[in-house]
Amino acid sequence: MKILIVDDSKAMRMIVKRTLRQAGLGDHEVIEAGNGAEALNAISASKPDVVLCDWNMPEMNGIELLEKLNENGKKVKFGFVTSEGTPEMREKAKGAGALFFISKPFTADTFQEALNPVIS
Amino acid sequence: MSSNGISIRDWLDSMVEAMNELAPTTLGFDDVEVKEIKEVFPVGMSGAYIALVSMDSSLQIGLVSEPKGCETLALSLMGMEPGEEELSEQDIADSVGEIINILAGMIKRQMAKKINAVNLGLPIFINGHIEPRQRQETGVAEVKIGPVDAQLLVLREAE
Repeated sequence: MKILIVDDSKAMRMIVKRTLRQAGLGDHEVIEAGNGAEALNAISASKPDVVLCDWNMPEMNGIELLEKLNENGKKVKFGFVTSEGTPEMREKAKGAGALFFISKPFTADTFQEALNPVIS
Repeated sequence: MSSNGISIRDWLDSMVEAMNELAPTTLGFDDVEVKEIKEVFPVGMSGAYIALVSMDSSLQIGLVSEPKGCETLALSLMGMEPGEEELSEQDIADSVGEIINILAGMIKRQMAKKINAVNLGLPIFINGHIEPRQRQETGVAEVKIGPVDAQLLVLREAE
C-alpha cells in the first residue's frame, strides 16, 4: 500500500511518518508532497492508495485539493491531519468525501483508530 | 462576536492551556510552568507567529525563545535528542512554525463557542522582535516548557 502525506511543514511530514510507524503502519510505502498542487501531481504520477492531508497550506489547501480530485473523478481514500478541526470543518470535509479527520496534536492510537478501518 | 470581546488574559490562558496539552503529547515535556504574565514584548528573541482572523478583527499569537531554546523545541517536535542532529535554520523555523500552527488550531477549537468563523493564517518565523504600535494591546506569558524558557505572545488592535 502507498500512502501520500501532504503538509507544507517538513517537520510535520516527518512526525506523521513516525506516528505511522508507531501505529504499526510503517511497512507501507510513503511518499510526500508540500501542498495541494504538488499532491495533485503526485496522485497522478504515483497513484497512492491513501492520502493524509493537512488543511491549511499555501498554493492549494487541503479541501481545495479534495474538491479538485472529486472534479477530476480521481478516486483515492482521503483524510485530513490538521491543526484545525471545528465541527464546521469536519462537516465540510465529510461532505467532500473525507474518510477521517485527525486533529493535531495526535498519538499513535489516534492514527490506528482513524486509519485501520480505511486501510483494512 | 469580535475577538475584542475576549480579554488578552483570556487569550493567554487559552495559549497556556493549549501548550499544557501539546507539551507532553507532541514535544515530550511533562509540564509547562507559567513564571510571569506581563504586557511588554521581549527583545532579542526569535520565534514563530500566526494570525487568527475573523470578519471584523485579527489577532497575532507568537512563541519566542532564545535561539538555543528554539532549536530545543524543534528537536523535541521531531523526537530528537539535543546533539543528535544539527538542524538548519530553515528546519528550526519550520518546526517552531508548526508548533505555533498547532497551538493556533487548539486555541481556535477552544474559542469556537465564543468567536465564529476564525481563520488561521500561515506561520511566519522572525529573527528579531515585534515592536507593537501605540494602539495595539499586548500580552505575554513567560513560561518554561520542559527545559526551555520561552514566551507566549498575543498582539491585537486595542478597542
